[in-house]
Parts: sequence; structure tokens; C-alpha cells
Amino acid sequence: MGLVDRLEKFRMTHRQMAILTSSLALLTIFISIPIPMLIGPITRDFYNEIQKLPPGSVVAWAQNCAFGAYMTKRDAYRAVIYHSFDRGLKTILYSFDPDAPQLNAALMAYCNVEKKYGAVYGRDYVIFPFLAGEETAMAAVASDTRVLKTDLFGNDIETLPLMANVRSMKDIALTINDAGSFTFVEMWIRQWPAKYGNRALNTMVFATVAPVYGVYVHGALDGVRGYAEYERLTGYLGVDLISMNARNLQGLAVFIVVGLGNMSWAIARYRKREVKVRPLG
Amino acid sequence: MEPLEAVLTIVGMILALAGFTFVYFGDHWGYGISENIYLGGGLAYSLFAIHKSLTASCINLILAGRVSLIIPLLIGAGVFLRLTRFRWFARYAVSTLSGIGVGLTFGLYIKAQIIVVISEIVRGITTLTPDPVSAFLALFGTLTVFMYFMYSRMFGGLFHQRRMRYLGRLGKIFLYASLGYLFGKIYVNESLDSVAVFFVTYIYNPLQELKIFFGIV
Repeated sequence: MGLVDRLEKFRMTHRQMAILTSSLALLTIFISIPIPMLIGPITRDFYNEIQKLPPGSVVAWAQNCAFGAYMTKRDAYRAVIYHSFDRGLKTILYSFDPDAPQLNAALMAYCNVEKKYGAVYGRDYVIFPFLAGEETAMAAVASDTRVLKTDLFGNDIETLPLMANVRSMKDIALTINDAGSFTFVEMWIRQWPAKYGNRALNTMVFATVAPVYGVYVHGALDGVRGYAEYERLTGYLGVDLISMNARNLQGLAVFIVVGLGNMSWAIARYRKREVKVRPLG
Repeated sequence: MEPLEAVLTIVGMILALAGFTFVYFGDHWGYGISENIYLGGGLAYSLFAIHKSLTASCINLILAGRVSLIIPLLIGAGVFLRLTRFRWFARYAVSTLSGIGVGLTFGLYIKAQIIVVISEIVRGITTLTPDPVSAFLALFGTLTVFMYFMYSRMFGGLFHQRRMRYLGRLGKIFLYASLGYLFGKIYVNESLDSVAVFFVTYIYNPLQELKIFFGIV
């Protein structure tokens, strides 16, 4: 059987495809494969936005990430926190998802900024409890930070030195948002950067901020690629570099399979043969 | 890591793998156990989160003397009256929530997602930024998509079947291109990300922690 005939008969079930991609992912986890990586412009923008803030500036993070998702990007978040603390920035972590307060607390425990930077809770960073209402909650906090009377640990907001000069979103230099859904990102853009003119960064999917990139949002970490690039850029390396390798190999395999599939279909069509597609499974 | 944490890490890893096997074997008992534990745990967690949120943002404040908060509490609770014979009251709750929602978003929506985006396109074409080709494509793409995709017109008008149908077709191509980008980005790129991060988060990370616990490293 010739190559063209073999190609014409090329078929793959979705189970075979899943086994192929999983095997490639597992391979890169246990065997280090050095694949070169270029730093993309939007990750560089993200880095530069933090880099150019003067020390002492306040960053507000609107967290709408679930705990399961947090576990997959913990090291990228750590890089953001370390980069902010390297620059002497103050961080306020707001929680707009029921998981977010525990997530924020776990993140700061993971970063251990008290030991690394001698940071003090209340002075250098604050974590707020979950505030229900999504867009209503974001609007309320933005217009008056005193909507939340206490922080996550029950401390009165008036006793927190960091919050003394932060009365509304006007006092925030930079906002960061993490949400996978378009709707939440749009709420954040409407209620924070569009209304108060803060610079804004996104840490999840670039597609959600693409229409307003350069207008309201000035940097983004676009999934695993963005996380890996940012970790490389800041020097705070994490597991996303491994994920990036896995993803690159899988992507290559997907491109090859899609290409072969299309060639198979085109040959069969040229020879006027009926293409039988096996059902999923 | 405590011994109990090590045991839980191993159990979690097995459950995660059991859940992932859905890709290969479809619905089976291992996946069922994993799914039910996840759903049950998620529900219990949400109930605690709702209780904590209600207590912190409403009930504690009412007990501290802000009695005016009883009104929004009653309106919010009114949503659940839909499940009873007093379902007529739910209309007031829903209309209040909708009214607040529309009031909160309307002006900012127009500004942030329509006016600014259009003005950016105009600015792009007048200043030829980020580059002349992109600026022209953004303007031309937006206009032709508007021509093709109009809710206020029946299909078959000027831009669909008559003299200007070529512009409409071009709009359709721009629309397909944007949907193709979204499909590629979200369904292909993100799914590749998820396979990679699944193995790193639920296999690699726990194995590293277990190696430290058992003193293998």
C-alpha cells in the first residue's frame, strides 16, 4: 500500500487522540524537554505595568477564581505577588467568588511574604472576605471601601494601616482581575477601570479583554503560556514552565493530526470515495 | 506535611485520576464516585459560604443595630417565595434586582463596551495605529459585520441578497474569522492547557510533595 493510500485510510478515534495528548503531557512532566520560549508582547506589557509603578502604590486584585483553578496557577500568582513586593507595592485582595477568600489566604501563605520581604499583614497587604453580588459588590467596594467593615480575619478596617488612605477605587493605582468568564471580566472593566480610570491587568484569558486591550486593560497573562512567560521574565520559576512544554508538544501533535486528517479527507474526495467517519468512542 | 495530609493527598490524586478517566472510558463507577464526592463537597462548601456571607454582610449588622438592612434581606428572601403559594411576591424581588442591575450597568455598558470601542476604531483609522493594515481591517470588519448581522432587518435586504450583498458576505467572513479565533483559543488552546495543567497539578505536584514526605528527595 502506497503512502497516499495509507494517508487516505488515516483515521483516529477521540479515545486514541486523548491517549496521545495525555501521553505527551505525561512525557514532558517526567522527562525535561528544553523547548525554546519567546516572551510575548502582552506578557511583557503585564510585566512593565507592574515595573513602572512607583513604590508604595496600591494594587487591588479582584479575585473571582475557584479554588480548583487556583491550584493550577498558584506559581504564576506567586510570581505576580513576588514581583509586586519586589517593587514595594501594597496589595489588596478582594474576593468576589465564594472560594476566593480561602484562595487568597492560601496564596499569601504559599508566598510567605512575611519571611521573604518582612511584610506585615495590614500594612503591606490585606485580604477581604467574600462579598456577594458580583457587579453590585464591585461597584459598592469601588465607590466606598468601607462597605466591608472587617477583613477576612475579623479585624476592623479602620485598624488596618494600608486602608487608611484607600477610601475608594480612586486611591488605587492598578487593578488586577482573574476570571475565566467574559461576563465577569466585563463587569470588572465597567465598574473599576472604566469608571475610575485605573490601569488594569488580567491574569486569565486574553480573549476576554481583547476588545478593550490598550484602552482599559494594559497587560494580560494568557493562560499557561502567559504564566510560563511571566515566570521566566520575573525569574520566579514554577510548574507552568513544565505545563508549557507539555502544551507545546500536544499542540504540535494536534496540528499534525488535523493536517493528516484534512489530507486524508482531500485525497478521498479527489478519488471520489465516500469518507466513513467512525462514531465517537 | 502531616501523615493525614499525605493520605489525603494520595486519595485526592486517585480521585482526580478517576475523574479524568471519563475521557477514555466514559461514565463508570470510578468516575461516578469522584463526581459525586466533588458535587457533594461543592454543595456543602457553597452552603457554608452562603451562611458566612449572609451572617457577615447582613445578619450581624442587623443585630448590631442597622435595622434598615431588613428591607433588602426581605426582598432577597422574597425570590424563594416563588416556590410557595405566595409566588406573586417574587415578582417584586426579581424586578427590584433587575432594576438595580440595569441601573448599575446601563451607562457604563454604553461607555465601556460601545462608545469607547467605536472611538478606538475611529482613532485607529485616523492615526493609523497600531499599523495601517490593522486599523483598516478593524474599521472595515466592524462595518461589514454590522451590515450582515442586523437584528432589526429581515434576512434578504440590501446587504444580504441585493446590490450590496458582497459587503454582507465579507461581513460574514469577518464574523467567521472572529468565531474561528474564539473556537481555536477557547476550545483548542484552553483544552490543551487543561490537559497539561491537570497532569502537573494533580499528578506532578502531589508526587513532589509525597516524595518530600517519604524522604525520597
